[in-house]
Amino acid sequence: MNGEDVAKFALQAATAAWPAFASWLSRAASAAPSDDPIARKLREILPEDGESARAARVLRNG
Amino acid sequence: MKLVPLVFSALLILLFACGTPPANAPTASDPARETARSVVLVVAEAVHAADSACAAVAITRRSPELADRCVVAYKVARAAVLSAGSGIDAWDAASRGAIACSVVAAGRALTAMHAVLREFGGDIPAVITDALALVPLLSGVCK
Repeated sequence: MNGEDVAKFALQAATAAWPAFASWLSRAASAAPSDDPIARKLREILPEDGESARAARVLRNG
Repeated sequence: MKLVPLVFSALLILLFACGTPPANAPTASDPARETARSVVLVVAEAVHAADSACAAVAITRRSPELADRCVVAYKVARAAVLSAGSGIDAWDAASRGAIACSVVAAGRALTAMHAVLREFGGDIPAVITDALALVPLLSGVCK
């Protein structure tokens, strides 16, 4: 098997696998919003130490 | 070289066997859950925006007391939003009423931050009024 055969085989395999890959990608994309835990995202949006708390410290410490 | 196609095929099989999401994974098919998730995310963004606006007003007016008022409301809102988020992640019968009550509590704290901003003439980001308009979507479930 030479390099050209390998390339041909890889192309055929990729073509054959494409529908399965597209289906997998579609399912992964549609499932992602609900699978991603919201609690972690909320902790990122609302850190324990908010900006008002930092402002209060800055104002008190001059 | 004869091994190349074999290895390539094995890699493809492994990719789809291991990479496919499980059939019983939760999907975006529950409208009630997606509604709760959306409302909680908007409320969280509104609390963040209110906290930022409040900090800016406090700095401008050099008032740590003003900042303290927002800190108290922020802590209440944050705890309520995180509690609602945990309920959405669990999403069982017991958690649904608790989610609604947490959103109501977050809405009250957000209203308090809104009142502070109005009192001291701070800019009120639109996301705050948007979030306060969305809270009633869930509040009916809170008994």
